[in-house]
Amino acid sequence: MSKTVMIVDDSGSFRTVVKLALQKAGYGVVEAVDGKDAVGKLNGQKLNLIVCDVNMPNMDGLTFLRHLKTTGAYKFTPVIMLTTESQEAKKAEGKAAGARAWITKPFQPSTLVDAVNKLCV
Amino acid sequence: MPQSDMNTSPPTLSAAAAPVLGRPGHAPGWLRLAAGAGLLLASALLGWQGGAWGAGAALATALALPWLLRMPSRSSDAGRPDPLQDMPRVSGGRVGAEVMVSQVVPVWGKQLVITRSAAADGLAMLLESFSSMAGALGELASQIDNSHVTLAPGAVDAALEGDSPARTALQGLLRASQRAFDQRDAAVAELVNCSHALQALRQLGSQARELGKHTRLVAFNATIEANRSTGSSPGHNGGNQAVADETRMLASRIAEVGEQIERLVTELDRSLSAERLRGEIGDTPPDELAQELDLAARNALTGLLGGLGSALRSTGELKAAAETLSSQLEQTFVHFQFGDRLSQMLDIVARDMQHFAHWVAANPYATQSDAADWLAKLEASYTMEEQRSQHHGNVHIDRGSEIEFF
Repeated sequence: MSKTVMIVDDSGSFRTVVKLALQKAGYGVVEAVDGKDAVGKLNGQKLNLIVCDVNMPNMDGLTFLRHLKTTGAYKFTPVIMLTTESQEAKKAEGKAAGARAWITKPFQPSTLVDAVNKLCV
Repeated sequence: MPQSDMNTSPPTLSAAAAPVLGRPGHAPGWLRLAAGAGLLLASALLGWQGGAWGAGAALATALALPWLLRMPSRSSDAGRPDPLQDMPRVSGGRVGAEVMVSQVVPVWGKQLVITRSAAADGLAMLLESFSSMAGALGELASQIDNSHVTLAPGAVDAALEGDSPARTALQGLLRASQRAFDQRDAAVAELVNCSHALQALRQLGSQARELGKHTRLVAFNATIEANRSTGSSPGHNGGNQAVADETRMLASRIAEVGEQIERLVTELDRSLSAERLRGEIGDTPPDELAQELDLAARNALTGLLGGLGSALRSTGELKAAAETLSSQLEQTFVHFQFGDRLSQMLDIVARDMQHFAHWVAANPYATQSDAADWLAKLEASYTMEEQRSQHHGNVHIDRGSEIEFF
């Protein structure tokens, strides 16, 4: 049974690029357009990893990450932040919130797949 | 609209300020605002084409605002007719900047929105097409991998090792051949038995010939006795002679039969000996037979694989081409991300223009402090090093994909 990764990004083309790379690597993919949409799609389903943008409408990525870490079922689900944000302060904020890796855009799909392979539980 | 990681809130200025816009001796406010907005858009587009879209937009803003606020009138610098020169002016010679901005900037904003929408749609379709290509390419590469055959050194040895199908087939061939050789050996054994029987028959022939000699001797004695009895008893002479003659004839016949038997036996024995000799010469030991079959099988496999050589080379070339295409596709997906940013940047510029128009309408006069506030808040909204670098006029930072594990 393949592992499932949730992609949270308000950009449809970014979601497509990430989805294509992960599906090619054998992962199942669930998509969400922002943090709020992602919260609504958690609903107890098994997620092995989450790839999340930072700046998004409705609910940004760091807020979603903090919410995730208070949710029992997903408390230990690894999260990779995929963002153009490169400020050290933001990275530190993400690390403190429980992110496991920080990838800056634009990204090489193979780089993302390597990180997912390494962190996917 | 994708907000992504771009600056998400347009800068706002706190207060109206001293009369800079429309100050006597300066360019009309509407003209400077219009040119600034155009510069903002052009810089964003040019910046994207060069791979530094965000920084281009930032630089455009940085250049546009001071010019809007401070530069004297240099409408002739544009080198082209001013399309707004016939616009109405308010009393005192000052252009109605608020009117111009509120009417012109929103039109540009709508154009930006339309452009952004078209760019996003086109990008989505391109991405879908490339996704399909990538999927087909992946499937092709998978099929090539699954049909992989190698002609590497030792491939034939590997094919005949252990319980491989080739080894099993070879052993089956060896068993069938061995059965044929066993049948041949059985036939040779029967020939040897026949040869033994012929020897016995030869002895019988020899005995028959000896018997003929003895019989002839008996016939000779009978003739002597017949001649002797002719003198003593003439009445019995004819009978004795007849017996002697018959006995002599019988002896000759027995001798002839013996000789014929010996001659036939000799011929048969010669024939059987030649067959046995041929059988013995062609009799291959099982180990040697197995080696011969093994060699023959290897030669057959080598020939077969050699015949597939050109096809395999083509497969290898096809696989290399697929890998190259896959690598190119990966780079294409990276470039698509820049296209997505163009769409985002157009969205941001459009919204900032709207905010700027509202701000100018509410603040007909601005100061250096207001401009500095705009720029500071603009810089604070940046998410990328390229944006910050270009904001201060520094060189572009060419940054690749980075990953940091926590």
